[in-house]
Amino acid sequence: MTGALIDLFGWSYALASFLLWIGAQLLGLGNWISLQLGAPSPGPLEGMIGFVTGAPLTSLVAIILAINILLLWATAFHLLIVMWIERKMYSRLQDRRGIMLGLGSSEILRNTLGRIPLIGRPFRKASHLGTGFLQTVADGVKLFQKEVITPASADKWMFHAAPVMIAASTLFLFIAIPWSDGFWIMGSRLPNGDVVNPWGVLVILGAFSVAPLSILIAGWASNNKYTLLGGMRAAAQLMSYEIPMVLSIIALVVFAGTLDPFQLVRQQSAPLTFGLGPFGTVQIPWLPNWYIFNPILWIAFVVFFITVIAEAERIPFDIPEAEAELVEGWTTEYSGMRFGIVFGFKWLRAIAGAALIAILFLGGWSGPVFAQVWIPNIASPGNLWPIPILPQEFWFTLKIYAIFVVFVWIGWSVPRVRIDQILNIGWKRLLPLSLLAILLATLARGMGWF
Amino acid sequence: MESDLLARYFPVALFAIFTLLFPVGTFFATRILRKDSPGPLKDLTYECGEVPEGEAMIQFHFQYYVFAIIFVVFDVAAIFLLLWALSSSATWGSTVAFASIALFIAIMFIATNYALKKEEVLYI
Amino acid sequence: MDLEVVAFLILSGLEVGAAVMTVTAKKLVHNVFWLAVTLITIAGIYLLFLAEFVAWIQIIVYAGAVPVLFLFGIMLTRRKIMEEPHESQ
Repeated sequence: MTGALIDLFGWSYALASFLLWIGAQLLGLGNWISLQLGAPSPGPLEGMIGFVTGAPLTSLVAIILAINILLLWATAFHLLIVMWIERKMYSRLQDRRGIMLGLGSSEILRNTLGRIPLIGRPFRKASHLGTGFLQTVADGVKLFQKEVITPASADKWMFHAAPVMIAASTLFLFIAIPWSDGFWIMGSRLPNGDVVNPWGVLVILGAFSVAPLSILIAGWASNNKYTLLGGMRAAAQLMSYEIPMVLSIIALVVFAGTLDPFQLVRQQSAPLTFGLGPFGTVQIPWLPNWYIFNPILWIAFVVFFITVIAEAERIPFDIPEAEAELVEGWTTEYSGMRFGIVFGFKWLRAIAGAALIAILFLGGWSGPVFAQVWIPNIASPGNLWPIPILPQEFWFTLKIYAIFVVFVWIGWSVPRVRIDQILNIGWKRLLPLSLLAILLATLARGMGWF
Repeated sequence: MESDLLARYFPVALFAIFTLLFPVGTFFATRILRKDSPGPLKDLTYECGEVPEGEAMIQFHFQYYVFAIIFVVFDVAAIFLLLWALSSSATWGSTVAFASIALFIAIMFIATNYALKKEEVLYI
Repeated sequence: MDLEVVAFLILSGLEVGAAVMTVTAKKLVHNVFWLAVTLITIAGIYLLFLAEFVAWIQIIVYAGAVPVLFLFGIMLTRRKIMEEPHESQ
């Protein structure tokens, strides 16, 4: 596990045993008090202390902690940063002054707060690289305290069940996306230290597949012609782009031979190797074996990239949520946190899609480890704990943000595509292209090339 | 193998339960923060400010259903291709395997063209 | 109590309940929703058979495509037909 900073199950087990140890101490105190008060010895809480510190409960609490840490990492940390990146990038692309202003751009603030010696540092210069990080948090708080309005004669159960389905299927994506060799939920450790998860990519595809149904129900349940139209179009679009997605992954699988995200990253950590058929193999030692460097897979990469943009309903494929046309599309009638969930989780699907692109084509979390810093280990005193400088989580996050920047760049420079053009592209252009990619991959692999 | 599977999927099951409970939790949090007070004007559906008229369940064109059927067919075919791709490394020497999958892809290609030629004009 | 037996009881209870709701719900869209729930819990039961691939394929093909097919088919008809209560169960 070199290079991974966070060992999720190890840390959550340690944290769980610590918390349960505190609980056991409290129970022991209660036991002692009851013994003083005259209960027969051993005290009544003795059995519970044994239960609390036992292995099954510790593992259960450890798993719950691990799930919460991963969910917080994906939603609270990455979602906020990604939304901030998007806002800053598109405002710079479109030259919008307001979002790009920094704290020091106002003269009043510069002259008053900027004069304070240490704390006034951010206020001193007028700059474009402002903060505004808490704007997303403020939006979330605002949405929490808004009233939830159910439209008249809407289907109450479906109306409120649809955001639950959308949220559940979007969060389910993050089960199978590992963030490093130690930061994962779904997987099992082999005896030699490797981690396997035989069907990881299939789980992610499954979670993407449940989306059209929930969007259709959401659009229908609002009792609004336009949301119904938006919902049907969204379902048609999402279905049209799922087949090229699956087929381009198949083109990759012909080379990789596995759907396991851990195995895919392990394969891509080796040096770049090209097979040239009867001429032998060529190895380039200073480039990693990322599948994006393989010319046969370029068609599959382009097709997969476009389908991920379409599955995340980003511009240029955002006709379901076309802001200038259908107000908010299929989410029009949702208010308050229901809107917050369906709106914010669009970015989560974009993060998951970017993570999938990074794992499949860009080598996942493989990256150079420059140094290792040894610090004393709290858990086992006397030992040292290595911290890799530039751990795997950093490389993975960097790649996800880079792909997301490309998403934003494309999104805010290209006009929106009409719905029948979207279906045209999906069925008549991308589907034959992905079939061609599979054929090319089969031919190349069969003859020993690449 | 069996205990390994259960050990691997127990966190998945817990995760699924959490993902189902999280939005329900936000619903309750919202209700605590602000009471619902529905009124006749607030509950009207939104049509850019006008009073909505007509029924909300408009009838849709048949082409949506055609695309859904084509999607189901190609989904199943894609699953067969996935199965083949996963086991393809074991069959590289054999010409029969390659010929059969090439035939499958060729038939799928022809079928795609035929099915989508009929949907030349898109009413969606 | 074996964890597997507990999981099987919970999943099959959910599935039978969802199947009953599929057949007895009043509005057609509720039927489709409960059908989707039934298919997803069947995928869970496949996991108990140690058939992981089939389970995830079940979610991709069944829970992702078939209820959408049903919903599209339902929405091709007009509201009056959708709202009529079922006569035979």
